[in-house]
Amino acid sequence: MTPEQTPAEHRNGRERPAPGPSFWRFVPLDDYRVPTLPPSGALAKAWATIRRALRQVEDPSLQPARDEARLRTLPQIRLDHLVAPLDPADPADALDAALYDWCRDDEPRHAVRFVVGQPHDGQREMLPWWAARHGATLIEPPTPAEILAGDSDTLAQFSASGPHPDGLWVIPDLARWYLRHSEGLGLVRSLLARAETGELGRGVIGCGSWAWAYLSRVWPVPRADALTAQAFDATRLTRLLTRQVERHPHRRVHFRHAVTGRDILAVPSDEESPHPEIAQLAAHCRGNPGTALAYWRESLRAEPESDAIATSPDRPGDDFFEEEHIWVSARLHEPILPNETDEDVVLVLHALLLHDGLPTDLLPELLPLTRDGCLAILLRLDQAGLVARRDDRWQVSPLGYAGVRALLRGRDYLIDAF
Amino acid sequence: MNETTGNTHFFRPMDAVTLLEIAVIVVIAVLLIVFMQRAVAWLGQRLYGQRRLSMLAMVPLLRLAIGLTAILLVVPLVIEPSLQNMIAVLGATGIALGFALKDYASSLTAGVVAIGEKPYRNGDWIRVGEIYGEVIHVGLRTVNVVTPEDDRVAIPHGRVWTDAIVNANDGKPRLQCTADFHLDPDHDGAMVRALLRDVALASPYLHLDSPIHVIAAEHPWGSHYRLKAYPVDSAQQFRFVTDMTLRGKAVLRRRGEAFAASPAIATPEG
Repeated sequence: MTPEQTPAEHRNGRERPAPGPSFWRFVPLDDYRVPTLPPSGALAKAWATIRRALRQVEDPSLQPARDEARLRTLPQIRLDHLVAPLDPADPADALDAALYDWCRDDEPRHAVRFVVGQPHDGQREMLPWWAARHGATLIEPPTPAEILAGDSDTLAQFSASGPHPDGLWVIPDLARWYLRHSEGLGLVRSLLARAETGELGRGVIGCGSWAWAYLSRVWPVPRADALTAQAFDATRLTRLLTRQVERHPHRRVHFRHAVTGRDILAVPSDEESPHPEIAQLAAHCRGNPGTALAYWRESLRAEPESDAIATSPDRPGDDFFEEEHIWVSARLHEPILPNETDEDVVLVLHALLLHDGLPTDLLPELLPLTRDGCLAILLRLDQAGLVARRDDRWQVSPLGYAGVRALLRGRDYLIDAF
Repeated sequence: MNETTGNTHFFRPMDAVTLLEIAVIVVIAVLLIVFMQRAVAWLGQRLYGQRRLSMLAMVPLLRLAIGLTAILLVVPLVIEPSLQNMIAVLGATGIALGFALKDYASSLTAGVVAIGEKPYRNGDWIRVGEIYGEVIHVGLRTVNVVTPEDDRVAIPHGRVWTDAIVNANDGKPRLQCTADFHLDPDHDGAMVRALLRDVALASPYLHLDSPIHVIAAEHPWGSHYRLKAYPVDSAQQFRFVTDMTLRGKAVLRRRGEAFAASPAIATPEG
């Protein structure tokens, strides 16, 4: 289905929609597979490093590696061309394929379908896009005051008739419907109870993985049919990175390892097998495409003197290609979170993840901390690059997410299932 | 003449080299124990939950192993290692400990028993008599606990023989905490129970995979609710109880619930 098609056309359509780019695929939550390193274990990793180092010496055709300190970061506009933000149309196509039968079923077994996403993986941006495509009513989240008051008038939005013939509605982020507060859980329970019994009609509810983990304890109803985007392993991540590069005819972009000088990725290229560096990135990000793109973007470097564009024939008889070389830093550029991190900092980070971001004023309502104390912690974390402000809400940054998750896991706090 | 011969066979001739060997063994054993204790404590500070407790629990066992190894190395240097000699040494040691150092030996023995039976380990929260606190060191003779008032108390292991040892978490990272609420009897109990359950769920210290219980009891002065839940880490117990108490009080006040008017004296029976 294209965005121009009406919902009725979509429902009466004869053909199943194209599943979209093959790297996006929605699967049940239990089918999510966190990517692992091909040779698992530290010993294998060390051996792979030694082998790579030996090969570097043995291969006479190898280009000289670059001193990372001499490389410069790329300008913002160039980064936007090389690593474009995730296009919500891609996961929306995949979600269409996953929900095809449910959309066509006049009496589906479940009135509501849940779509669970990880922080920064683009699913929250995808659902409003998907709703617009299907003419579904986009349900506005309640205000914090309405949540704390347990205001059931908020649920009246569902009865308002939308453009969709079946009254299909979409909640992009369930995390906006609750607060971890003594009086902040009633409204979301009421919403889930009425939605799952079919009282509110047919709808799709998006939920962050952390809010999902918490709400599963608050409203423990098994939801085996909840969907999530399958993890981006090395192969899918390679395809995604390739697709993110803005195409120019007659130009080939080489992403080269700054230490070994070898190509990690070339676009366009016939090479199918993913590079071990990309496998490592996929494993480090646990299959989250949003954080993987952030790391990739952060690691790109250019020659100090020029963009190093050379012209050379690709193969005899082929057209000429401009060869552009982008260097990929060997280090993971992520903020360091000390292991001795103060408990108050841990509480703030956990609250930010459980709520998919929070404004400063709400934090003292939820935590046993003062507003000034919260603000001081947020500013410290902001300086360290662990949180970032988006609109009026503080969120754990894409580059800080892996470290924060590891910290919370190490301290036995509730973490997501991904 | 016979006596002289017996002494010669019992003790080995001591020279400067033997004395030096003994000194080196003792010094190395002491250094190893000190280093091990510091290293484990350093590592323990960087770990949390079950990993921390398992790490800290190794200290007394490793110390006992190092101490026994040192004794096994020193004894043959001093005494001719024959069956008769060993029986004589053990007998003499037993008599000395039994008469002169009875209490000290009792605590030492209880310390060895404590390593085996594990009535307490480093990181456990224990109550011995009136003393409640976190075990921070299991020594040869005493167990050291730090109370909530930040007092360090050394309790002889010998109390293992006579006193009940109450262990709140028994080697696990979590322990049950209770927040008490005393309400006027005229109220909707089911609503209060639901509210208090959400109070626990709202606390950032709550370990969400552990059970939450609300226990109610009626008394002549009113209703007594006990909200029982587990914090993420046992070290958070006082902050957790405080947080649940304040949250519970705030939400009950907002809902217009009246608190028990007559003063209630909390007892272990509630």
